[in-house]
Amino acid sequence: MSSHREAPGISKDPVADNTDTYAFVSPDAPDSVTIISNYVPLEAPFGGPNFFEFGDDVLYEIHIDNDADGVPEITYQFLFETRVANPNTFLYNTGQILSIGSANWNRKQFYSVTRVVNGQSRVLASGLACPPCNIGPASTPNYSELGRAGVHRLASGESVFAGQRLEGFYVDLGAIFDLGDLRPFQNLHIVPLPAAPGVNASQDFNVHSIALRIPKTMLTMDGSNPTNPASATSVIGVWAAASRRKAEVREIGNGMSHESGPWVQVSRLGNPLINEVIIPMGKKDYWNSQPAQNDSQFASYVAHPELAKLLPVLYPGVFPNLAGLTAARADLLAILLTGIPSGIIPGFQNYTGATQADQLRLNMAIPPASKPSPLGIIGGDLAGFPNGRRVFDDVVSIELRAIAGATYPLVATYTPDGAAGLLTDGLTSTATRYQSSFPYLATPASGYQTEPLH
Amino acid sequence: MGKLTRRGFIHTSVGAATGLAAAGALGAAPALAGAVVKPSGKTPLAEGAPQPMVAFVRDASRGEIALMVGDREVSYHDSEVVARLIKAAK
Repeated sequence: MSSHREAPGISKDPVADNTDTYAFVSPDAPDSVTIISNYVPLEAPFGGPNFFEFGDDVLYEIHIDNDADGVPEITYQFLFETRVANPNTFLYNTGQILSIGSANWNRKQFYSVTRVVNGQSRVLASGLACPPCNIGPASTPNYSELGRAGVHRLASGESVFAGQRLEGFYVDLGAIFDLGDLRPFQNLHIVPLPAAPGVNASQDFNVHSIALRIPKTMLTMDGSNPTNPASATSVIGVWAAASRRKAEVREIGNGMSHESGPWVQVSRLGNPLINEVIIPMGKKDYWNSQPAQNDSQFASYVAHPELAKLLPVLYPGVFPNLAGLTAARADLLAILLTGIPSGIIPGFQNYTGATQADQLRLNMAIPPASKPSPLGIIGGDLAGFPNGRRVFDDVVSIELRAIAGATYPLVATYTPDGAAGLLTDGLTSTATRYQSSFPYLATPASGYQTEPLH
Repeated sequence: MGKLTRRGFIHTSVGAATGLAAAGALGAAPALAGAVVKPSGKTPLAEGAPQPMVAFVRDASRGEIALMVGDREVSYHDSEVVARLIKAAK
C-alpha cells in the first residue's frame, strides 16, 4: 500500500508505521493548508477489546521545509497519553459513549501539540482529547458527533484532529502483490486471467490520523500569503515521521518497561509508494531511519525503478518502448525528489531546488479545483498530486503511469507505450469515503457494521 | 547533587549484562549535560535518583558507555568500569 507495512522492521510496529501523508490547500478554507499523517495500517474495525490507538511511547512529527533545503524549518510534534479510568474491567467502554468526555469510555487518549520553528519549541496545547474508536451502534451511536468533538481550534491559529478515521487510500493490494497483476489488464499478464474490475483491499479498514489545518501565512518563509504560482516562496515540502526512544528496557514480572535516550526515527513518508515499490527490501528500514535531506543516496532507485523493468516482463509485448528505455528517469527524479521546475507544465511549478528529498511539494498559490480530477496533474488538475496530495487522489494509477513512461516526454523525446497512459488497478475514489470539511477523511467504519473478509 | 562517578555508576547500576546494557536508577547528574563525561572523585551514591537510566556498553575495547537519560544520550568513557561490568556479567 502507500506505505502500509512497507518495510520489514516497521511492519512489526503498527503504531509507529506512517501509512499515508497528505498536503493540500483546504477546499473549504483556501487561505489554509491541511496536512494529514496516518498511522496504524489496516485496522480491522472490530478489533477489540483493545481497540486501536496511538502509541504513548512514540513521537509523531509533521515536517515542513519552506526554504528548499530539504531540512524542516517548521515541525509539529504530537505526544500521546492514555488514561484508564477503571483498570479492573476488561471493557473499552462500560456503557454508551455519547460524548468525547463520557465516563463510560474507559480508555481515553489525550495529546499535546508542540510547534518547533528553527529549533525553538513552543507547546501550543496539551490535554487535547482524541475521539474513541467507532465500536458500533450500541456503544457509539452518534459517532459523527464524537468525531466533530475531536476537532480542536488552537489559540495559535491552527486546527487539529487526532483519532480514528476511515482509510481513504484505495488500492487493489491482493492483485498488485500477486506478481504485479492489474485486474483490468490481467488478460495480458504473463499468467493470464479474464480481465476484471479492481478490488479495493482497504475498503473496510480504518487508520489513525493526525490532521492539521494551518494558515498559509504560518507556512511561508516570509509570512506572506502565497498568490503567485511562479514564486519559490509559494512552495513548501511536507513529510511526516515517527520516532521511538533509543533504549527500552522491559522488566520481568510486572509488565513495566522504561524508555530513555534520544528519539530515533523509525518511519517517515512524503510521497506515496516510494519506500513501498522504489526502495529495495534490504534498504527499506534504513530509508525509514534517514533524514529526507540525505535522499540523494537513494536517487538511483528512482532513476532506474525496478517496476519499470518488471512491467515489460509481466505484460509481454505491451511495453516495448518502456523495455528500451534505459536512460535515467529525470521525470521521476523531478516528480519525487526535487519538484517540477517552471517551463515544463504550463502555469505550474513545485521545484524546491537541487536538494533531493522525499517530500510532498505543495504550491500553495494553486487554488483548489472546482472540478477535481483524481488523476491530479496528469488529469489536467494542477491542484492534485504531485502538487501535494489530496485524500482522494488516485496515486496508484498516477504512479503506475509515470513509472510506465507516461511522464517521460516531459523531459525527453520519447513515445510512451499505448498502455502507459491507461494503467490502473481498476479503482476510483468514492465520495462517501471522505467528508467535505476538516479533517476530510470520513467517519471510521464501525466494528459492529463491518463484516469480516470472506 | 553529586556528579556521576565511577563508584556511583557501579553501585547503582542493576541488571548489567554482557551485551552490555545496564538499567538502573542512577542519581541525577549535572555532569551529564556534556556530551562526554570523565570520571571524577568519590561522591555519595545516587542522590535523587529521579528517573531510570540505561547504560549501554557500546565498545568494550575503548571503555565506551552510552548513557540514555531522559531524551539525551551521553557518551561516557571509563575502561575500568567496563572491565568490572564485564566481570560482573560472567
